[in-house]
Amino acid sequence: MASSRTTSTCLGAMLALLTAGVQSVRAEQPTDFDRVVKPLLAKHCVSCHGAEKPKGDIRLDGPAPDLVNAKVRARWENVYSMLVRGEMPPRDKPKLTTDELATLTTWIREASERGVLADRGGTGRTTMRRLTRVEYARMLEDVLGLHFSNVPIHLWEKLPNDPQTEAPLNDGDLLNFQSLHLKTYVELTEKAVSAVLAPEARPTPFTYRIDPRSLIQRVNVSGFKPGEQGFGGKVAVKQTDVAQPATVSFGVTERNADDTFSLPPIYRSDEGYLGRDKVNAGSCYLELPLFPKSGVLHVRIRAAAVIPKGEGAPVLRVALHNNVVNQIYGKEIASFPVTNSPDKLQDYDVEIPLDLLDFPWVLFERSGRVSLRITNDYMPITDRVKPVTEKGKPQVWPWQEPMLVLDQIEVNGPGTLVWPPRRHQTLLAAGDKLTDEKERASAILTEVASRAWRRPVTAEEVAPFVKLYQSRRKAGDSRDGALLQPLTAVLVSPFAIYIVERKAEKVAPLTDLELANRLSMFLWGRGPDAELLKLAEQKKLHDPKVLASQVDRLLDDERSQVFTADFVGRLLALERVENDPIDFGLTLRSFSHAKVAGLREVRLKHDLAREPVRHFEHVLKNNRPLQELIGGDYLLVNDRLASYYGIADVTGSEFRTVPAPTDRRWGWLTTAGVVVAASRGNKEATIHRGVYLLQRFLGEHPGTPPGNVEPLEVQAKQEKTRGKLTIREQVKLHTSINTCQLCHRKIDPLGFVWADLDYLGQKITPKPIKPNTPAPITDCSGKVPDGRTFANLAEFTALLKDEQANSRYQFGEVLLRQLMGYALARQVRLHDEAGVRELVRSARRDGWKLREVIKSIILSNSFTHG
Amino acid sequence: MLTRRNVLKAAGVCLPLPWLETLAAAEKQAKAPGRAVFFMVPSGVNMWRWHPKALGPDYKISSTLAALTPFRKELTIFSGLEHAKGAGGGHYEVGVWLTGNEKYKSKDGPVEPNTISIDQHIAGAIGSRTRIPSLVLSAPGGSVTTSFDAKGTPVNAENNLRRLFGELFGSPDVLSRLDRRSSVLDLVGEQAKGLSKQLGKNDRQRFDDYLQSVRDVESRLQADRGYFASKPLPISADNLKLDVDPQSQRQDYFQTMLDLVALALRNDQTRIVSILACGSGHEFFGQWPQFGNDTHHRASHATNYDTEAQRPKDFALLESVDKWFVAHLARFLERLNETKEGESTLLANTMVLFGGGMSWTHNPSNLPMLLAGGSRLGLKHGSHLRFNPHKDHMGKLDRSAKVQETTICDVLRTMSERLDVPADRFGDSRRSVKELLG
Repeated sequence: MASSRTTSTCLGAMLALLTAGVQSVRAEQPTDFDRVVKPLLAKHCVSCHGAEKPKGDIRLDGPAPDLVNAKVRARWENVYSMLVRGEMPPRDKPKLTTDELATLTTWIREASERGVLADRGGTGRTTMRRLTRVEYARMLEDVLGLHFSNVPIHLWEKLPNDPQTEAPLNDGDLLNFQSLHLKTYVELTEKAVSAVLAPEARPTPFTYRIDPRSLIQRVNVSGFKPGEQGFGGKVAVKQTDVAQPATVSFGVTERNADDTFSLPPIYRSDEGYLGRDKVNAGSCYLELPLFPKSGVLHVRIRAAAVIPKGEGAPVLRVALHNNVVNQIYGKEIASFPVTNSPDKLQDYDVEIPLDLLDFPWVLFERSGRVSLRITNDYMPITDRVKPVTEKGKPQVWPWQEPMLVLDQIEVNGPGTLVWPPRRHQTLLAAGDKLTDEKERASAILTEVASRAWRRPVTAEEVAPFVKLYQSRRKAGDSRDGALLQPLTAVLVSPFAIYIVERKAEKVAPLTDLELANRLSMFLWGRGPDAELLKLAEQKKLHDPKVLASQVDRLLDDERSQVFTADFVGRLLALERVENDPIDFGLTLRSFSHAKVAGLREVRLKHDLAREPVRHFEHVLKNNRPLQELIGGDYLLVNDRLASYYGIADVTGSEFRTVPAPTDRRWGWLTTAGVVVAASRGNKEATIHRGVYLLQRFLGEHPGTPPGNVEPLEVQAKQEKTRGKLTIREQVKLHTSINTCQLCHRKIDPLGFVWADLDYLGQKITPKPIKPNTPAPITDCSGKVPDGRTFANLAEFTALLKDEQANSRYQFGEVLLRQLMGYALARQVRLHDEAGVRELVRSARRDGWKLREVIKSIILSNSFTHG
Repeated sequence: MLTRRNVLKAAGVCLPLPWLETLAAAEKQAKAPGRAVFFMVPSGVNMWRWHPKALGPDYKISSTLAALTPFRKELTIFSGLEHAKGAGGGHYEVGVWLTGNEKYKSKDGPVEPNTISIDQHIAGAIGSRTRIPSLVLSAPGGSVTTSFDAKGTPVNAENNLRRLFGELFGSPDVLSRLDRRSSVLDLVGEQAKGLSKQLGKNDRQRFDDYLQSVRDVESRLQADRGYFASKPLPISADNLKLDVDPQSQRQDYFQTMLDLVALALRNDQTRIVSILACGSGHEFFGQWPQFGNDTHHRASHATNYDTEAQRPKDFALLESVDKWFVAHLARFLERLNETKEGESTLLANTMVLFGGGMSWTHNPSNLPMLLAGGSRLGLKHGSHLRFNPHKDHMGKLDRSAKVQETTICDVLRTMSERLDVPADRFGDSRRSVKELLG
């Protein structure tokens, strides 16, 4: 990360080299070199590596070396490794102090980095980058209208991984593109286009309407009376227009007075039973006669919720399900909360795009039926243990839990409701009034291209695509089917995949269109909408007032959640919370069925990873000072997190602000999700945490463990008492060994700030050393790399907020740089330094209001120029 | 007459059919093609149990490697192997393992681009003889790979087994799909050429990626056409577990992946394969529930130079994971061994380099590595070789055995030379490893 000032300075020197020629570099660089590096070399090295018989032919007495030259660079990198490994100076000579070592190695590393960049022709400008796979998939979904009611399709997962950076930026320099990319992009795009383009022949339409009232007469299961539990069996739904009936079966459900059904939460669907997967229990199954896997299956569920006081909303879950013995297989298609009460029944649509979902359809082909399972997937926040009598007999379940009320279910087969399907019609709408085939194709392709390429497109540009259409027509494709290839080509065109910027040799303002694209890619992760495009066309976007008001508009739009989730998620590495194998200890504690608790853990992790994002959104929405992200007397929690933090009286899964308990007053720094991400599941995570804090809150790269250095432990072996050392003493070993100390003196003292929080972000209650004595107070003291010390988290936070101190470790500035790197999709370099200073000044003046900070970055030359 | 050469000619650059017995019979004198597989398992091992104690041909196999006993005569175990200048320390082993580039620092982004890896070096020379120049696989996929192209960019690794299967054996509609592909590629290729001219220098360099990928995919399409038109082996996907998740179903995942690799080699679809288990120090596999739910990375960091008695749990986990991968290797070798190629076996024509770039934590010396197979390519196996004076468990230099200085690049180079691809200055290489040659 180049957010530290020293690095940027050096990168700046590199820039100067390119813009002003070698002389200016020579003029700037020596000050650093001559002032600090040269005296050290003279003191420690030159006696052997001087003018006379230099040892190993290495001379270190000259002027500042030119590390743009690869050979010179290689020599100095060798010097670097010798120093780091402690091979030089030799044993009989005086050792370097750690500070001296740091100065020398830092200089060599940075000079070499900037040499490399200069060597490769880097300019410090934003490189034209391609979309990330997430952005590309989003573009496909937008252009092709692949939004399905309540059903996420996660197209991006089918594309190759993008290179990951630890910093929160889409570094354009890292986003490579290889044949595997092109292949998979073409493949996925073709699949997506064919999912939208309807085939010539309309599939046989079918509709099944399952109405409980009409069912009841046919149910011949005894004992099924209003208010009673236990309804099982199968019911054929006869439709006049279909030959084969579908069957519907309800597991253990409750029949209501008005003949609707209620599904209890499946985790305890019969008395005392704790298991989600007991077949038929608490579920509604629909089995439809087999139909081809193509088009969109439309399910409409009329539902409501009965929510007892203190409970959350029931979760309606729909899964594709194969229920044949030995081949049980389920795939969740939709999962969403239902909150409306039974007197206001509501229709919920679930659109299932069969072409785009991975499900082993062959299972359905074997059984001859397509089966859907509807359940109430509610999960209480805390354990509910099956109550038993003293003799161990099960008792009546004592909790009132939310019920999912099901009224009518309607299933419409692909192509039943409208034909051609809605998405097909929308995609081709531009050609509707044209009868001439060529003109029609041209109109359609022009329209789609202008959305995929995120700019106006002329008919000439799409002419080759129209030609392909015509040749496909000649080859015998249908009128619409012949669009498959041209549309695919439009969507994998370089204009779709890359954010095209045609830059001049010298830095100049972007065109309005390019600016519109940069802006909407930054804040929405997708191309500009009609309003932005219109402003770009009128060339008004470079007007600061217009631009600022557009920033507000984009931020107010809910599409900006793409930015907040992605930026905060990457800044704080929140994906670790959900994906790392961290043991939350929920799975085996009391739930008898591991899968049940597994789901609870998934939901908890999900909420933990959302909290910091919601906090950021809150600060952004209310235009609060960004320092509130690491302080403020409120928390943003929902019922689950409130319970995690021990806060009472919060119901409902939506996030809201609540007064923070006294020990959680430091925003992100006391957010459990952040501590979890920093600790990586380690019980002794001081070093992990130090690295995390240094990198993400102090904006400095932690450095990397040097290769082939004697591992700590070898040197520690001499200390016979090692086994008895406390964590603090063990960690201190790092800082007492010269080569490790380079980085670890910065890292380790930071990690202690969370000493009183465990790896799940929960408070650790210290145990008394001896019985009946007061428990010791956990020592959370440590040191910021610039030497300022803190006794606890409160003081640490205060240091990060202190603007008076002449330190680069100020949270405001660190976050500003991170935001800037993200906005520019590249490292912030010296080239930007003057701009950054100006932004920091104005942010200080305006009280660091988050929205204003973002606005100021967008209005800066680094963003508007390319 | 049906000879291999004729078939090759007829199909353009690709070989449509496997190295079948019919062909082998027709060409008994000819040598079956040589292949190389590079299989890396990073993040260190239980060093107390990996290497056998004794050197030379009469060593007693170590407990970790015991599963390889049936192939004793087909493999060589290395002690003391490392890169020159201690390259690959810390967690940089993955980018260094097949490149020997001491400067490569993969974590900080491409400040310094890497250099070409040996598999790509070989593929550059002989890859065009097969339909797929080289297979690059890793469980995490993407840029987590040991393979780097001539520009030093990581080669995108495949991790989706269904896609891999489609690549190797196609799907029913594959031919019509190929036709559709090429017209799409023509179009966007033209467009890209036009755009490239309008870009600034820096952007153009970046954009070359796109142009290059269009060219690559187009030439592959040509080869694919010939291959799929001639009806590849009717291998059914039914009995293969192609939709398994690499993390949660790792047993099935590696088994299927290695089966597919063995099939690809058998059918001579490719001759060069690199496989990476996971990134170095990444928590990709995280916990190993079957071995007690501890994380591998943590255990490997807790064990530096301790004795097993000091850290029984950690070393036990490491050993179990080591054995797990070795078992997969053994099964893979078995697959190769049971496949006959003329008079010899696929194993005799395939060199398999297995191991990692870390021994103890962050330490790239005395690496756990072995080389199996390839006896028909002139490799002499059956021994435990020791190179480079190396440090013992207390970090002292052990000079008891007089040994040659030899780096991994020397071994890589020797493998490359066995495939008739010169690599005399590859990485830090200074010599061919004569000890390996018959």
